[in-house]
Amino acid sequence: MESTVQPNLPRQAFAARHSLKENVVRWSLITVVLLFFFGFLIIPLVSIFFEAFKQGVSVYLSSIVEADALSAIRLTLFVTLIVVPINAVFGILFAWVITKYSFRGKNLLITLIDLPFSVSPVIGGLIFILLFGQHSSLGRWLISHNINIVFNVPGIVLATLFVTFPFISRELIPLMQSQGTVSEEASILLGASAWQTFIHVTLPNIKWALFYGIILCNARAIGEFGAVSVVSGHIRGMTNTMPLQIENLYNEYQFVAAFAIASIMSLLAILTMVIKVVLENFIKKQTR
Amino acid sequence: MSIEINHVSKAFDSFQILNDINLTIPTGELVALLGPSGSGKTSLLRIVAGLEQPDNGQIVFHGQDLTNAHIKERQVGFVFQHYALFQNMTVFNNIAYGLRVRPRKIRPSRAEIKAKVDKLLRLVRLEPFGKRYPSQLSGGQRQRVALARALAIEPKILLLDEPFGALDAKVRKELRYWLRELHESVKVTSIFVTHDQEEAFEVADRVVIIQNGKIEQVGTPEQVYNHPANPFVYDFIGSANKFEGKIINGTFIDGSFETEAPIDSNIESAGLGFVRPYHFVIEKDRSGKYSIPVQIKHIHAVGPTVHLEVERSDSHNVLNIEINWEEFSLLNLKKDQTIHIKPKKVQIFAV
Repeated sequence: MESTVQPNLPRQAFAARHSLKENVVRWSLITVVLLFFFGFLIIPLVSIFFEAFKQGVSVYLSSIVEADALSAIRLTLFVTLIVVPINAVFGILFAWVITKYSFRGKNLLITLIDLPFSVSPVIGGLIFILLFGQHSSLGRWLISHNINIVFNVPGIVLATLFVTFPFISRELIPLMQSQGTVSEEASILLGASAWQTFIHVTLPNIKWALFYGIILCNARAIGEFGAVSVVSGHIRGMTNTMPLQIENLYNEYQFVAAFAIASIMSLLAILTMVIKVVLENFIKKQTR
Repeated sequence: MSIEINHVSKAFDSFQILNDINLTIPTGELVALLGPSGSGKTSLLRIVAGLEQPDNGQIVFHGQDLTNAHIKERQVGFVFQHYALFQNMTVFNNIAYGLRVRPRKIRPSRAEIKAKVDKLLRLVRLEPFGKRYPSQLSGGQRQRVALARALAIEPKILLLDEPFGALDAKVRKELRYWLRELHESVKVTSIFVTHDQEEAFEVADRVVIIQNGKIEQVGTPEQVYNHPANPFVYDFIGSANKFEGKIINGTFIDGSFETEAPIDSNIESAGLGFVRPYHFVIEKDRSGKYSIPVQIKHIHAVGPTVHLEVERSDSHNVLNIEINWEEFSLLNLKKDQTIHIKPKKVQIFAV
């Protein structure tokens, strides 16, 4: 942090040497960035709330407590609550295996983690349709045993798991690689078991990166549209998550209702960003 | 508890790190593994600790073969070069860790743990620092915490991997004496790895010199320093001037320089001669074939010892000489002056 007491002499001297031309370039670049920022980020965000409250607070509230809307909110939170813990556990496991052991094919594995990022979410959804739908023998067998995965909640969970898998392990791997294994070795040499070592030594060292990964994973799990859209089947009140419900309402020209749900999702997103910023500042203070 | 290392070998891919190492360390001894970096000394230490497995050979603690035993069963205390303290725990909790993670049946009570940690904090002279975190300590203090943490589990063997390697020169010296004292008081069989020969000689009962995965010499510091077994050891421990020449009929000849070679051989062979920088007599005039004409290239006259860099007039090899200040001022030496130097003590090896 810069001290406010000391006059910032070197910077002033530097600024004085700036010619008029450089100043023009500087200010026009800043203006372009700000205009772009407002035009493409702030105005759309504000317009969501503007549209949502266009017909007053009571209409806004009634479109949120409407049965299908509530069901969509509930389903989104339910899916997120399942997906985030599963991805947290497997993300840690994945990062642990990659960074603490050496084995053949490790580099291939590191490359493949990013697959859900590079593949289009629509394809991510399609994989599960092909795997568990009417077209595959596995799918037919499951359906005949009354296990419906596609066009049902399990399918939505699987598709969301697939899309959000990389977030946590990608946060953990670089950190765990830089920390090495020496603390774990020290713990084992002092007589601790592998589990004790993980709980007392590894986890405290990675907790902030883990939390950060969870936040990102959470944001994506709430907002995922493409993959979920393919597997969900858009059954109103049953398999519609919040993003899908918004699309449905919009297609039916129910703009206020669509924007009301969109405003809730935006609030969740803003909340996530705030937590992220607070966390980043906190980590900075911790590591200083 | 004694340690026996029998025929231990280890390779990484095609690179042989350790090659048939044999070493016995009696109970209570403090042994230094001394060698240049990459010599395999740290790998040997990690194999003794169980952090790595040897390809061949045995590790025996007090007659018990522990080659395939898990790290836990070996009960070794290990001190890392970069401390490896648990950053999220206070000094107190770091030291108590090894006691707290024990299974309930053999875990000491809370009061016993506290008494023990307090005692160790006293031993490492860090009583007021129990509540601090490692990041609030200096390097030397951190390493003392690491030592206390290793001693808390009452290890049968203490292993130290370049324990003072990351510290500055002054703290290193202090900790050296302190480690020596500590070892006198706890008397646990200890191995410590270092690349600093001065450190090894000051602290250890015996020094093991390792190079390229092989033991070059084992002995007390005096034995190793005064009777190096081979050219590598001579060159490695302390600075040395090297003479390359040949040995003919008991005489070592390198250019215009000759000296007696106490090697029983009538056959002509290549030879290496070593002279420590402080084993030279400086003469203004040549006193015979044992003295070498040189030109003074550089004089470094700070402190009680004066360092001279001289160039041989015949081979143009550069030699380093140390003389004391009184002698230096009496001789009134100047840069670019030609003088004669006579080695007082030469160690000759046939190669």
